Amino acid sequence: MAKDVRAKAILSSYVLLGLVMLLVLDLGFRLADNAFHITNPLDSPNRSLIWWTVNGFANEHTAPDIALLGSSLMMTAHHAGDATKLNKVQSEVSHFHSACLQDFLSEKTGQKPTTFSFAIAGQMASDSYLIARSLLVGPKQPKVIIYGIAPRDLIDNTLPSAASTETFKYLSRIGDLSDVALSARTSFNELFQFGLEKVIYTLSRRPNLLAWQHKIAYTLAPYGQNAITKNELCAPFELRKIAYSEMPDDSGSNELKIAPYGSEFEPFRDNTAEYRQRYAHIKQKTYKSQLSYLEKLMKLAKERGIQLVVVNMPLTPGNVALMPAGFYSEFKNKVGAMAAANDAAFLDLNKPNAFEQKHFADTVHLNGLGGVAFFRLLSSELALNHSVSTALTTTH
Amino acid sequence: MLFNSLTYALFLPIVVALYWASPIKLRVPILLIASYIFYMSWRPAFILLIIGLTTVNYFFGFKIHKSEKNKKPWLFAAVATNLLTLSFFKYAYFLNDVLVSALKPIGMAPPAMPFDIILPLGISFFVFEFIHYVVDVYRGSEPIKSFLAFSLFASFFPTQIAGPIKRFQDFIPQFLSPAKFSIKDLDSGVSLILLGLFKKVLLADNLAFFVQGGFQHPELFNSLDLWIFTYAFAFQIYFDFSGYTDIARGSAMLFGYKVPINFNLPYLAKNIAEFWHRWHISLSTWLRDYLFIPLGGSRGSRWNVYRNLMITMSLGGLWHGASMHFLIWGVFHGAMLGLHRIFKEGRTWLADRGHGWLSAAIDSKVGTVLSMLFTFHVVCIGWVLFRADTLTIAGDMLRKLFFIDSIAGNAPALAMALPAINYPLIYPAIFLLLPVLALSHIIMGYVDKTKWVESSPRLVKAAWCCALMLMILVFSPDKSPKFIYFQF
Repeated sequence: MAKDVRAKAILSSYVLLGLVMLLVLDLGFRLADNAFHITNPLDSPNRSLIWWTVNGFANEHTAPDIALLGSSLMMTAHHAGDATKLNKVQSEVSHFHSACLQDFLSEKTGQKPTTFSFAIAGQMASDSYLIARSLLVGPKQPKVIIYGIAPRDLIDNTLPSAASTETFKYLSRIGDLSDVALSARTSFNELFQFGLEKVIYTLSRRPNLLAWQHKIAYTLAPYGQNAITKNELCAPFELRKIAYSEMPDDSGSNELKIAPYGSEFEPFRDNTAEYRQRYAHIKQKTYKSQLSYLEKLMKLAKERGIQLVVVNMPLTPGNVALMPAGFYSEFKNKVGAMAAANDAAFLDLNKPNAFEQKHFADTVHLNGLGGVAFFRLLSSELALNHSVSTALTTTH
Repeated sequence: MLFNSLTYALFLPIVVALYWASPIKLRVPILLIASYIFYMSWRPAFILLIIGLTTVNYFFGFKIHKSEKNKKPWLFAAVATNLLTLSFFKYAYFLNDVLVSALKPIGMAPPAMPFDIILPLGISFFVFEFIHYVVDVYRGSEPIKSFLAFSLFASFFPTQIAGPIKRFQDFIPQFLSPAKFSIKDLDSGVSLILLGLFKKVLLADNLAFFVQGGFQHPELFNSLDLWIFTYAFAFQIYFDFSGYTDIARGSAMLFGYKVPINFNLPYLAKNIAEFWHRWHISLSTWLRDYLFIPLGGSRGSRWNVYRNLMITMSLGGLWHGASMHFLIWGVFHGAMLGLHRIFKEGRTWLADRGHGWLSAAIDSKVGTVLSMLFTFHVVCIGWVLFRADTLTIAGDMLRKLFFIDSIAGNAPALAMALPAINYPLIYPAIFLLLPVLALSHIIMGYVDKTKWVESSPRLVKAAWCCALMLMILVFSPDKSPKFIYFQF
């Protein structure tokens, strides 16, 4: 009897009824979305670099011969190099073809390959693996992947987990990443959030709902039109700085431009202090986990018949000297051995005297001059590599 | 452990379940342990402070009560202990800075602070509760016999960090005759928590980002822009603090406890005195009972009353933070309260002489709306002093707000920089959002006041909760800043 009364009392709860309503609405949304594809997985409330890249790649009609992967080390070499070679300002959010690589390879081999760059600032090995796995597949599969890497792309000590990057979050909406979903998350909060998204469908479609909210708000807001029609973001530099530190990665089509080398005065930026900090606290757990993603990338390429070329990116000697003793050579040995075991090529372009101080914008990033030099050297090495030449001449 | 964190979302249901599943005798100890765990989740060592102060004040309460003739020295000792503790943690740096600037011109300087002082969370709130306790015992209230109940009074986790400042006469009886489990309380508690989260994460946090831009870089904006930033901060602080209070009250309700309200439509106040009856009510009544009245209150000469108002509000300002801009914010409110008193006296003086037109005009509908608008703007000017990081920024903003730059010909009066900014979204959206928020202030107040949710049919209440849950799930920003009042 008492149990009946208690059960009745609990059932009279309007909060409980509200929760049931929420679950019913959620189920309805799940069924409707599955049946009518209401949400577009590519939609995002913010124009992150991965958003620009994925949308840019979606507009490509054919697969590129060569796909470039890597962090800002590869990204700046690509953009600054092309800006210098073409003598034209390049946009980091919409310039995807590497003119340097195409032209220099053409000079060396007589064949001009098509290219597409997926290099994005902050890209970790886990992100590169996910890009290859989700995007470089089927009719869009390239013949060669060139992956530019340096120790910092495996040891970011501010990275909470592989799943915390914008690339991972965005790509997990496009493809099924359930096999790495748990191992990529390390904290209880991340795992709980992931579990909640599995239960509540609406939560997993939150970016789509936020994108709709943004579209509606920008349509209604009297001064937001350019943000929809042209993807242009207009805000004073001081406000952009606050947004960069507090909000998700977001870049307008009118931002992130790279000028040709020499057209503007660009003093060498000494970021030694930043890298001393980065290398001082190497998280072995992150390092090991990122190495395992690198290995996964190599196996994936082998499995799909894509020739993978891992490129050790140029760094200034001063930067290398900041690493713990023996770390750099151990890193190169590890990556080299891993590449050999998985039929991938390993090119060490951080050769003594190949790059001088004038080629660097800071201790790790190449400037326009360095970008051109890098792609010239890379093309020479690729032309000499039999596996790459063979891969490029085969038809899909 | 923040109220808007996942940790709290897990902690609260566990404690609620444990509380109701336990025998009545164990419930107060369970709540006390939970409250201490809650406090230790920030910096475990500070638990010693809260336990130490609890023990000392419990002892003082009995000493004051038992002493027939020597009550005053014991009261003095108790208040001094609490104030010295608060001053050490909160004002040591400030006093050191004041001393440095005073001694520097004569070539002397006090030694630098030999150690770092970290402000314990919630200290301003629980110290005020202790002072209220010892003063009321001095005034004749019975001291709390149960040490357990007294400990929980001071450390009760829903109100531990930012109030509302409780009165033991209202709170302790609730421990002694614990409420029975009620679905109604549980429902009301959860819906209050949802409403609080909605105010905090959806409204205050989004506004915080907008406000930050204007208050950090007033040089980028013109007079009209800065008025918009100021209005936005007025709503941000209201939604932040009242959201926090709703979560605190809702959490307490889940255990069957009632905690006093802290807000009552503050921006609909018709004058500044009324504003203080509607804003942070538990603090303003504390200041009235334990500072303004002991100073003499409204008795004595006119100048004494103005002096009492000024002292009370200045110390109230300093209570918010050891910084000049808080002190000046308090002085500003003291001055406004004084001016309001003069105006009120003038109005009565005129009415007594047969000139009731002023009273009639003010009491008319148009007069009431204009009074509300005027009071809101006075409060907003105060918020500039409160929010600006430095007095220089506050000065720059106020100069522009009063069009002084425009009058001097340095800036076009009506030109605005905001419309040209389309990113982040909150910038173009603010023009739509502010009128909605102004309206929502009235609507939410109405909902609170008429208990609209509670008196609605079950289905409507369920839909209301469902809508709140959905909006919180979907539209919460990725990062949620701390509650503003956590720093005090």
